[in-house]
Amino acid sequence: MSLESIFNELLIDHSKFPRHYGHIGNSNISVEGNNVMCGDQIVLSARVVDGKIDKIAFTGKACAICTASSSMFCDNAEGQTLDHIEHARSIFQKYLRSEPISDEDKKFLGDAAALEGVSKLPSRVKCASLVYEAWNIMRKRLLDEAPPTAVVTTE
Amino acid sequence: MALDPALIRKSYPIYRHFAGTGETFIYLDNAATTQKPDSVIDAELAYYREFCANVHRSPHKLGEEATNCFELARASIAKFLNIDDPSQAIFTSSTTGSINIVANILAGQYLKPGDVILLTPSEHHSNLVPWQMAAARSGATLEFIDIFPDGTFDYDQVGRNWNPRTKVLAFQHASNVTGAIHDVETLSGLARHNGALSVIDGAQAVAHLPVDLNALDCDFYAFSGHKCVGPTGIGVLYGKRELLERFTPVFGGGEMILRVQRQSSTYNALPYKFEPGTPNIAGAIGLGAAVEYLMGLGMSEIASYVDALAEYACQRLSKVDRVTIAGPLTNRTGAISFNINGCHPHDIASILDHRGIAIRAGVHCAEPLMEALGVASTARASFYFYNTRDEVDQLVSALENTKEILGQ
Repeated sequence: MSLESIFNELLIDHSKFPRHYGHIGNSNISVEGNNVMCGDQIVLSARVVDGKIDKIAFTGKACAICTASSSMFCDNAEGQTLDHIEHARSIFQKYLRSEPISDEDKKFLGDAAALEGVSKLPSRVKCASLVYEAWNIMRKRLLDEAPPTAVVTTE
Repeated sequence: MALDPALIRKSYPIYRHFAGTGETFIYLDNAATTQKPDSVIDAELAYYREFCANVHRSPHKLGEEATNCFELARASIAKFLNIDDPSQAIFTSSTTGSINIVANILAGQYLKPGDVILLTPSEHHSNLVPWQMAAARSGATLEFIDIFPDGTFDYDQVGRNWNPRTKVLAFQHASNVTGAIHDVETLSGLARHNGALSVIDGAQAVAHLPVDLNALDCDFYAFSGHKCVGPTGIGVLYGKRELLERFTPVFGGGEMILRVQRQSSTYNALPYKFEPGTPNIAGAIGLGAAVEYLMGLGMSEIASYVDALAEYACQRLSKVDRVTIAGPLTNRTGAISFNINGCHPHDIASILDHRGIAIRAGVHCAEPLMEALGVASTARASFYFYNTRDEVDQLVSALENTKEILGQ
């Protein structure tokens, strides 16, 4: 796979102009993701109303892959139920492990499908995964399955 | 005589391997670990294949040969670092292992509540975390020297700001991030004058410049084999004789004792007192071969070759638009950290890797230094004597291409 197809236009676009970047005025949950070794740091915040993600956003300083993945994730997650997003996470995990996924599943990922090339860079899978791990903790906290102070890492 | 990298590479299996496959192999991660020449690999293999036995205990020919080679390796290391007595060179697992031994000894037998351990903010975590643990255990506190944005600092100011409660001055001989080389002789003299012990992390320096421990006159000095063409898993702790004799060991076991009774034991003489258990025999023999190899090339020749190459690399890199170098331009090793405005170091490293160029990206086990430099992380290209100007040129052109790929 060529560099240009790994760092494709959609990935670069999301990294340079991240969607859902910033703070939500009245968020009711946030989780920090921190990959200390490489210096990726994000905070994922959401406003959850009646089991649905009404608003979701992230801030932080991260590499192109982590920034783009966070942007794509938020794009896909806003307005969705916890189960819907959890389904996206499980597809994305398979995707990053280079396991075959159906066209339907690929569609489900939205823009995040453009991150296929990251699976060819084993040391960078953690960058694309950080927002999903932050989400995973957020979901667990919403379901009272995780303590409120958890900071996640994928290193 | 000036070094010839083309000739040098002929003795490195890894360069022969990539010459065979035709793949681009530009290895610029020497501050993390260096490549190994035939003589080092052969020395380790010979031990396993021809005279594998335990040292200092087996009463047979093989045991004698293993012991002999193990102690010859120690003698080579003593010669390499100009240590008067080889028994002051203790085999450990690594620089980290060595510093942990010293920090443990000083925490239990020397530091008192209220004492100060003085460090620089540039320390590798291996020369910081053990001191945090020693401070927590002894009630001492940590203080830090002020550094300039390039990682250097003012020695006179260290003297002027000296806290009389300082009992340990621990610092790196050279930085793994900025490449800055510090004056060990001056700083350990300052510590001695003020009644403090000096502990030096020599991991980056030993590979790059002649180190004369007799002249530097520090109290403890630690280094790793793998950063100076030797094997992984082996390192050395040097200590002044009177200190090594005064302190009792922190780890007990076989080899480090003379007599063992039910309730107590008598410890062995130096260096064995600090080498419990079967040591990394193959690693020690490999490290002996590594320092012999380096002495064969000449440490002054290595230093001048790498100095010239690093100066060229700094010049070329500083002309690349939006590149900032985090370190001094002179009196440095071959480790060059840099950032490209708008490009994250990890993206740079991945793209270069795709072009066959291996660099490191991240915080380089020096998180407090990143904070002091005002960056989240850096990219780092680190050069050694088998690298060339042509590789610098290829790095620079790959960086231009990286900016394009990342849309910058």
